[in-house]
Amino acid sequence: MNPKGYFSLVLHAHLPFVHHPEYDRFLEEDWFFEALTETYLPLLEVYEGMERDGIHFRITMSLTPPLLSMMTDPMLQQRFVQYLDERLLGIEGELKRTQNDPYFHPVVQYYQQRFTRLREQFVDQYQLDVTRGFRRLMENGYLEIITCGATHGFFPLLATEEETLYAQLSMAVRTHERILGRRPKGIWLAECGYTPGVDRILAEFGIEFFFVDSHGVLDANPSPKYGVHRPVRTPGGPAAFGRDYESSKQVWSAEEGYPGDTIYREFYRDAGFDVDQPHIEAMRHAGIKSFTGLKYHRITGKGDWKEPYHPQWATDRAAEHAGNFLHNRQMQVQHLSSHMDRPPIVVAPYDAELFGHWWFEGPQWINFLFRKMACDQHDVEAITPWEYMNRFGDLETAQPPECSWGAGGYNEVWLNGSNDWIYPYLHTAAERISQLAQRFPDADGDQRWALDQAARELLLAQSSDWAFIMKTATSVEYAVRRTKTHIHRFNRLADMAESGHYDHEYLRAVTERDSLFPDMDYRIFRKSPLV
Amino acid sequence: MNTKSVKELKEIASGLGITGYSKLRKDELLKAIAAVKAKSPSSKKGAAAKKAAKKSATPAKAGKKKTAKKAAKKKTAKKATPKPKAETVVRNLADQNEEELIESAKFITMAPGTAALRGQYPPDLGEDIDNLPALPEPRLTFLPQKPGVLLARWHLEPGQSQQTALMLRLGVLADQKFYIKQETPVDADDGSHYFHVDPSWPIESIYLQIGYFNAGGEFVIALRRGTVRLPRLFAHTALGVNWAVTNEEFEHEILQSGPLGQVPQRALASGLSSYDLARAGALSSSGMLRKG
Repeated sequence: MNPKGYFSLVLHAHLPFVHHPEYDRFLEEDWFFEALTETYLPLLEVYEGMERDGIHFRITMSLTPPLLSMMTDPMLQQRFVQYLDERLLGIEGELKRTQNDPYFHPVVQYYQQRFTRLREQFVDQYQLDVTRGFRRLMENGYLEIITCGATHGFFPLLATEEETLYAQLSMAVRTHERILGRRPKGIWLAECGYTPGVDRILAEFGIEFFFVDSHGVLDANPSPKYGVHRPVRTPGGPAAFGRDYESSKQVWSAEEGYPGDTIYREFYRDAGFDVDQPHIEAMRHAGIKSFTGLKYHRITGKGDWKEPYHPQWATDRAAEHAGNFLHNRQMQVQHLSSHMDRPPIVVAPYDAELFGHWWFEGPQWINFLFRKMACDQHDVEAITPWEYMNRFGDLETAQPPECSWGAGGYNEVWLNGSNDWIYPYLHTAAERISQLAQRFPDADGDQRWALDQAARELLLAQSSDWAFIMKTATSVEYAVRRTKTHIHRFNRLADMAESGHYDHEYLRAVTERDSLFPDMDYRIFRKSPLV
Repeated sequence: MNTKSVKELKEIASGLGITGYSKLRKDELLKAIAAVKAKSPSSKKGAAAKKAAKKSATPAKAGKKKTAKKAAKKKTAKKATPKPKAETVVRNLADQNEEELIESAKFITMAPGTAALRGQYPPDLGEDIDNLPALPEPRLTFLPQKPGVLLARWHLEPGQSQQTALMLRLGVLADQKFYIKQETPVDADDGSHYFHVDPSWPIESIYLQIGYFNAGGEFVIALRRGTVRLPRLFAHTALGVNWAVTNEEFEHEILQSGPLGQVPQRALASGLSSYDLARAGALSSSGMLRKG
């Protein structure tokens, strides 16, 4: 195959670390369980199907350190089995409730098959650890798995302390290597948040490439000749790949994009809200009406009236949309290649959770897209950024501007009246742990314990998700509490390390709760890589 | 209500059960209080009410507390048991762009726009979750929001803002001269202000300070221990250089630019431009001549 251009699908998979052993159940842990149910396991199923059928496909996925930590956490693994079992039990009740309903009974039957298969996948195939599946596909060359800041810290607003960037990157590379067995070649900068100079630090960690929003390349200095269709070499060394606006919009747009099609499953309607029965109540958290994942309606239209969901119709539509998307990419690369001295690359990055969780049929769309790309045409070939760099490595050097992929293109989503109060605390804590890392270069025993846990607390507080949630008003109180809790814990632990007075019970309790990064070393908060 | 101090407004807000009031600025407090007072079934759709409710949007989680460890138990003994709390989750979807809406779906636990009972889970290790720990010293935070918009956030000693008329001022250093561009009064110990500036300014040279005018009309920098951070909005090739300005460096620059706030009469008579006057510290951001 001698394609006219290349297509690079990039899926950014991330959730903040939510882990509450102090509770039997915790509502916000459902974020992870929903993503496993609707995105990560279905994607693995799709990838393995294509591998089995000998389909050429290449996908770049970022599996962030908090997500990898949750995927490998024994408590969350067990709780997810319980989550699946609760749903299977609830489905039994739903089958009885709908037995005389010709519209909704088939949908419930569909969920029974689906959840049964999900349980088989999770328990029998992956033995509770889905990273096994991703790792194998990476080792077989289908997936390029890249990393992200240790807790998804938004670099443009944390870069005032360079030590923070080193810490975020050190722990990211360590975690990636510990769980996936190799060092990452690329990184997804949280929220595509880039600030000049970050490239130099990335190079110190052996990172070869990262991604920016379209304007990160289009506004680079000097202006790149081929825009986002060829990466640029940053002054620090790593390549920056720019998002292709056209292909992004076709999928991202809720109105004009594919996910808004009326045949697809409606996100907001859920048996958790619609059905008041004991078997649904069993899935709720202390009586709070919340999502169960049993969604029986299709989008239908803008009004409140929703028709029953029809899985086969939705599958057929996903195939049509994949064909349409591929056709547009063919047209795009045909046009671009006539103006370029080498094949163009079309980089299409998305949140992984868009596929499956938001757009239920998204994983099927990916399945059809790569099968059609491999079998139905010769214009476009799937590629990873690293493969593209190896084939067409002589890149223009340009300096991208500060940018992000948030609304407005800069820092406004993470810095506004709802969340700007967090930064003085984050910056102060970063200064303090950096000073402690200098002052106590070889801490051991209780002091080492306290400093390592303080470093965990600060990294957790730095997660961009909290500021995002405060802005978008979804689970605000939780985000506020998490930020404050980590700041309090950080201060108490830092006080202990300084004073030499240790509360062992407290140390044990906080280490049990905020347990990610078992290989933590507080000295990551210094201006040098520690991996 | 406008005549009340921030402290008084915070007390009112606290009494009205407005969450997060301690972080609100005066204008936000006024809006939030007005919104809550005006709240009635017919005013639910009011923008102010929405905004206030959005700001105070709450909650987390109800859950059965597990048997906690000894230590945790000891510390939580004083804490209240989780109480279900009525909350209306208000999300103005029109405020969000599509990608934001989709991304935020990851964090939705209930359908937006619905009312529900949610519980507040207690901080189980004794954290004083309603208050943040005090910062170790007064601090100025200076961050870029987007081209042309900069956040200044200050944290002063308790009561410091009431002792004297403090001023937050933004200036540019160019050709070794300090030009005052904008000023705003500081009427609370903790607060923030978004400066709208000309994106074409030389970004390496934008400075922020909090201070006051002494009897002689000189501007005295009050926040000597505060660290000013310089943002970068546009392309640069290095990071870490000139991000922090020490007090010594700052004073040196001020000295180089000459005494502030002292405008000779002849200068006024000679019809200097407002830019020149501002440079000398004689103009406030609104263009009014300052006394002294």
